[in-house]
Amino acid sequence: MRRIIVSMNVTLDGFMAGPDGALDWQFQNWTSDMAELMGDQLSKAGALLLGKNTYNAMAGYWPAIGTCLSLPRDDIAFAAMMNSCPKIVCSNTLTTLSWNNSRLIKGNLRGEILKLKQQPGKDILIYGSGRLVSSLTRWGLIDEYRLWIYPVSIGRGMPLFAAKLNFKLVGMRQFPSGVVVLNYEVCR
Amino acid sequence: MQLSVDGYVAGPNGEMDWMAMGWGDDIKNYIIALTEPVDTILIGRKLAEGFIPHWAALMENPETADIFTQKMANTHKVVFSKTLTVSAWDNTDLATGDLVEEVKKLKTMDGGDIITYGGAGFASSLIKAGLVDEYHLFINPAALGNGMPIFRELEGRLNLKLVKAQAFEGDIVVIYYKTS
Repeated sequence: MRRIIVSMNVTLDGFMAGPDGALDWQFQNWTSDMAELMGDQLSKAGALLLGKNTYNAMAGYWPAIGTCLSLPRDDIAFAAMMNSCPKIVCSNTLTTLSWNNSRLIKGNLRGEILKLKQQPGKDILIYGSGRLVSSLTRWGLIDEYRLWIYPVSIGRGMPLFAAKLNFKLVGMRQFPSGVVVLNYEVCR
Repeated sequence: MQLSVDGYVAGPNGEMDWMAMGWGDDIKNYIIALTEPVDTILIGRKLAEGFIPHWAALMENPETADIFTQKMANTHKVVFSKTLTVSAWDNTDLATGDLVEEVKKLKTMDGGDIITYGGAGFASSLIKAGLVDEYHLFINPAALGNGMPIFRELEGRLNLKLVKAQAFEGDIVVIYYKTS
């Protein structure tokens, strides 16, 4: 069974975004060692599973980065991975897949994700995609959460978790930027 | 304070059953080292009513009266309350005035470090007033989805500076932040 891994930036007080989806609390802490961990995660994944909004934002960003030769080599390499890896986007309203190597899941999301997990292949990684993650969490379809905990509390926003869940800690990293990454497997 | 991964220090009705039980020596040693320079524990009334008798009882039993217990039981305490008039506990003063004024006064006095273990309301007030210098957040391996937060009374954001994160037996991660 393929595992679904959520890799999510969160605040100290458990929010994945501010009210209205604000993400500005993340940007000041981004460093190349964090990018390296993301690259490592992505290299081990068989596919990126995304919600519509995150997909569209990424589709509008990574293709351009991939061709921008003035950027550091690591950034270009990461962009190349993002652009080439298989993307699966979940949406009932998206009509154009504007990004290389993408396919669409629509309709019975829960059933389709269960089918996806039963296919052979490497683990599936989710970035961002708050609403998708909330649904999959509610259905118990997430196997592991990698929480990138930023050294900030924002007070209000979109919580990642809506109900009780117990975990087993399976990994930890910390960065000079102040971000601590905690990897938790879901206990069933 | 003990925290869930989503930032709660207790369930909606004060539940603590989600906290990892059976602390190992490694985490106790962390707390012993952390509290070595501490000479005062501040505590909200609600938590005090459970906290103080709990550690006093552990002191009664030679098997549990270790250094860790002794520090919790024997350190001078200040209980913050708007309703109590007399302290019913040994080695414990009451602070009944304005919380911010009382704590500011304590901080200007000579002495060792001051620690608080909560409760949620008391910690929220301290945080809102900008009176906390260090955070040692014991992240337990559980999400709650709802419960008692400690950062919710702030207006706006609080940016902290990471000092160190450490993992312990029982899957607890202690994240140590300083106020920036």
